[in-house]
Amino acid sequence: MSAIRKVLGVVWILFSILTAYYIVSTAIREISAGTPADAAIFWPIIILIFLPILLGFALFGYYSLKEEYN
Amino acid sequence: MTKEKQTGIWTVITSSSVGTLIEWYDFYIFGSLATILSVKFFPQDNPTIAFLNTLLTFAAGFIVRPFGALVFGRLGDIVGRKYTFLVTLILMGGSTFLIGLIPSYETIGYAAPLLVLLMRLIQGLALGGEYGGAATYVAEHSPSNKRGFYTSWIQTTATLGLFVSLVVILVTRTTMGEELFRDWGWRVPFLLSSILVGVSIFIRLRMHESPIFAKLKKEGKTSSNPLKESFGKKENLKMVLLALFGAAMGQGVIWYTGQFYAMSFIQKTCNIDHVQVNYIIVFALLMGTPFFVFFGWLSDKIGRKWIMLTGMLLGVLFYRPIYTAMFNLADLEKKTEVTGLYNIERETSAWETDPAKQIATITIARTYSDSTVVKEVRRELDGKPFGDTVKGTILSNSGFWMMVLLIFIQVIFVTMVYGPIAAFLVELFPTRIRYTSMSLPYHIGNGIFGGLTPAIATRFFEDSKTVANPSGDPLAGLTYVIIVAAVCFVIGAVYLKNSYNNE
Repeated sequence: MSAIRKVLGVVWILFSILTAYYIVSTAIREISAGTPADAAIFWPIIILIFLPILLGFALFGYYSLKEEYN
Repeated sequence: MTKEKQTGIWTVITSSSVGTLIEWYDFYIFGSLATILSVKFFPQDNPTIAFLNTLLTFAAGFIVRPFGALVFGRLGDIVGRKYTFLVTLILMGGSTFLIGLIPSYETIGYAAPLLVLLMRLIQGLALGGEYGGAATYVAEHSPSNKRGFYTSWIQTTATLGLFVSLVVILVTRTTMGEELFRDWGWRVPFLLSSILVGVSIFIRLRMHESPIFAKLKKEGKTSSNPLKESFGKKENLKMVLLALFGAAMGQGVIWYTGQFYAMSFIQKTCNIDHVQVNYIIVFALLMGTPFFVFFGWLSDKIGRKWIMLTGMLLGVLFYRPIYTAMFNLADLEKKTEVTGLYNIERETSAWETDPAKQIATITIARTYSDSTVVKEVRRELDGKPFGDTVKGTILSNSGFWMMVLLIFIQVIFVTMVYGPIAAFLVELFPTRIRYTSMSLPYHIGNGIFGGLTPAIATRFFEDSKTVANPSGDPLAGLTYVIIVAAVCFVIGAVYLKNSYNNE
């Protein structure tokens, strides 16, 4: 289980980075395109809320990698 | 446990549950009446206020909940559980009552939406502080081998709060008639809250502080800075992260999908008549609510972990088939219209607002071979179109009960993830920082991951619309729910211990 948690730690860190990239790039694309109409409202809220959570998820992955959960 | 202590624990559960139920009631009536409120408090043609409107309904009540968890969690770990969740109850009741008194946009202009926003923020903050206090209070009065069972009564309140709000709105609406209700009757459910809150405050004032916390305070062992201790120390922080990503996150999306996304799906995507939607949800909730207590009780016997994770896994595996069946039940393309039963009715009467004018209600009913009826209701004032055209599908008797069953199955998933979670969170953290530590992951899981489910799911649905498929994939919204629940399941399965009955 310890080895699985270490491997998953890397997975969670990568997952956080990729999700953050997806959110920010989609936000930039939709806001600059101006569609959907509420993109300028929706995406800043999503970024403001989910980036700190993703940071927490990466930290969770880091703790897992460092075997803090064993 | 002595008979006297058992009587005591039921008084504790009742006082905590009634208050929490009222807070949920207050929180839900706003959501249920959002359409009417947006007309009363917001000009429809001003983009700035439309922005406020969107912010209000989309985010405010949910996003501030984690902040409420921090503010009141800290207070609860320093001052005590009893007084803190008394404050949250007063704030929630007061802000709800005041929403019922705010004059409309027509009367006070921009002050109306700003006041509503302020009240909604207070509601969210109060709810953020209430749940952790109630769960901690009950758990700290419970013997360790019955903690799951006793705290599960608190868990029923969120569902019962929704149930009571739907019933109050349904009764007020039916008694007053649609026009009066839209005019001023929508204020009644808000004002009614003050009576319920008054009763609850009276009950809670007579309660004593949690014995475990009182002992800690007497010994001078309470935390002087619960926030720093909860999130500044690695040992606690890593448990907060585990509670969020291994339990609360998945629980939040399963809960909001089963109760709220399901409701929004049958109303907007399936276009079921709004009164029938209320009945479907009310029946499914009534049938499902006892299972909160059942799974809470079961978690005392076999542990919390696998009950919660099974609920998540069932959601991951069965949401798509369940929602496909729900969609098919109301899909008119799969039904044959009985043209001989096509019917138009026209009723004319004096307009309630101005009896000198005549208002006509035209109802067009199309009946299908399985007894499904599609009703289109429009109104004309002195011969000119008046108000919106309302179109809704009324399912046949068998269709209605099949829909109830499909929602009920989702409520069972909800009871599996939600029934044991209060005991699970309470047992994860030490008494001195429990209120703060458990409230934050709970409210991020429920307020953010869960609360934003309808908005994010709708966005996934909109994104599924392409040139080749302009109507989009009606099940696309489930992608978000399934991903979050699946990740949470893996984390919970690999990292969580199946601990229970911890002292």
